[in-house]
Amino acid sequence: MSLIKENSPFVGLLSAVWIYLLGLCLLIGYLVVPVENPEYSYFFTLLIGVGKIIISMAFILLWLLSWYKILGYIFIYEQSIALKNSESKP
Amino acid sequence: MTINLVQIIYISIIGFVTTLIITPLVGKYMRSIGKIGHDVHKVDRPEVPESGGIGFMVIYLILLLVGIFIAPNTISKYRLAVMLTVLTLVTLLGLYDDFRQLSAIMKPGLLVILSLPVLIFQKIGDEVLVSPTPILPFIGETRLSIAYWFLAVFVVSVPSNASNMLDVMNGSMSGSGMLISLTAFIASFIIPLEEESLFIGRYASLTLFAVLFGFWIYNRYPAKIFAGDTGSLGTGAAIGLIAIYGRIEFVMVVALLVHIMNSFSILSSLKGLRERHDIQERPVKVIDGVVHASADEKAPITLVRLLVARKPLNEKEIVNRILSLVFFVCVLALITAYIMRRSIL
Repeated sequence: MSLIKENSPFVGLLSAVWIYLLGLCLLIGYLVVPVENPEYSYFFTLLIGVGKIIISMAFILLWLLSWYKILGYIFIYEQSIALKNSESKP
Repeated sequence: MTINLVQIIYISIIGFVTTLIITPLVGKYMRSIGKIGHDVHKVDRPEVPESGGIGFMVIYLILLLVGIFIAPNTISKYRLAVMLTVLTLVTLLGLYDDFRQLSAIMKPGLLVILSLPVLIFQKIGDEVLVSPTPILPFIGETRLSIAYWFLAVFVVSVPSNASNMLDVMNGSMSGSGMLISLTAFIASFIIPLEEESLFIGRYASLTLFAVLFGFWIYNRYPAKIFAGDTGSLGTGAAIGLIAIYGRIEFVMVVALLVHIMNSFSILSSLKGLRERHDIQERPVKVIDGVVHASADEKAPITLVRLLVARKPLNEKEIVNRILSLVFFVCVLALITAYIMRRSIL
């Protein structure tokens, strides 16, 4: 338990990444449902299909980018605490 | 024929005991041929035999061969045969890398090529070995006709390299591999799947856990042997193959989140693939056996550097923190497995 407490920024990040991943899967799962409307032409169906892939990819990229940014912020935050601790020492 | 769990447990125990006996002998042999490395995180930098992973990987390959004979159906036999082929090639590649050194681009490139049997043998006769229908939480079974095959190309390459990149401290790779293989084993009891997937999920993961446990006893802090690329690439590849043939892809992605985080942050901070020896700016520095984060902005942001950024830690503390994070994501993976169960029932 104490180990989890010490790792709290990383536990928080991993939890956020996991929740986003579940959301992403829900979104992708919803988007990948095939379009089977007889009124749509082949070209339009294809266009919707490609659009869905692009939207899914965009969300995956956003997931990776935000993950990378948060890692950078955690590193800066951890270092700032280290600096504060060293300054408070006589 | 049904899955005989007692038989799987017996075989796993044999695998554990054999690894326990073989590993020190492999260590002695590696030392005798001069295959040793310095444990740089200790004050006295002791010499430790390298490439010890060959011992447990050979035992694991033998156990997979045994699995082919006890598998309850033809699909399981075929799946194990492909696993055996791919893992033999990955082990040989790891061994070559340990002794001859492959370039940072060549290694993942070759691992992608080695995963091709998974795609080539997606169907043998009437038996479908891999189907592009992964189970996703909330959705259940989903057909990903194109995306699945694109991702399947990386089924060996990504987990192998991720496992390799986390093999930085005593017992970090073997310990985390143990936790992930145990998660795969438990997940196979949570998600109701067809017999052939359940057999792979249970047999391949429990035997992997057993051999890794046997190896971890010597590899844990203070390490008496290192796994080398032979062990770390092989372990990662086995996890990837269990994910795809056990149909627990999503569970394994969650269980590998710490590995992915480490690899992703290294690759993004280095802006591409680079060999360990080519990186001038080290992420951490060791002073009197205590690991300090590097203040150099150009140094790669590794998980270890992040963990010691606030406070310098010794190796044992770092390993405990890495393993506690892996344990945490494994719990998340099991919750995911439960959500998946609810989605398909």
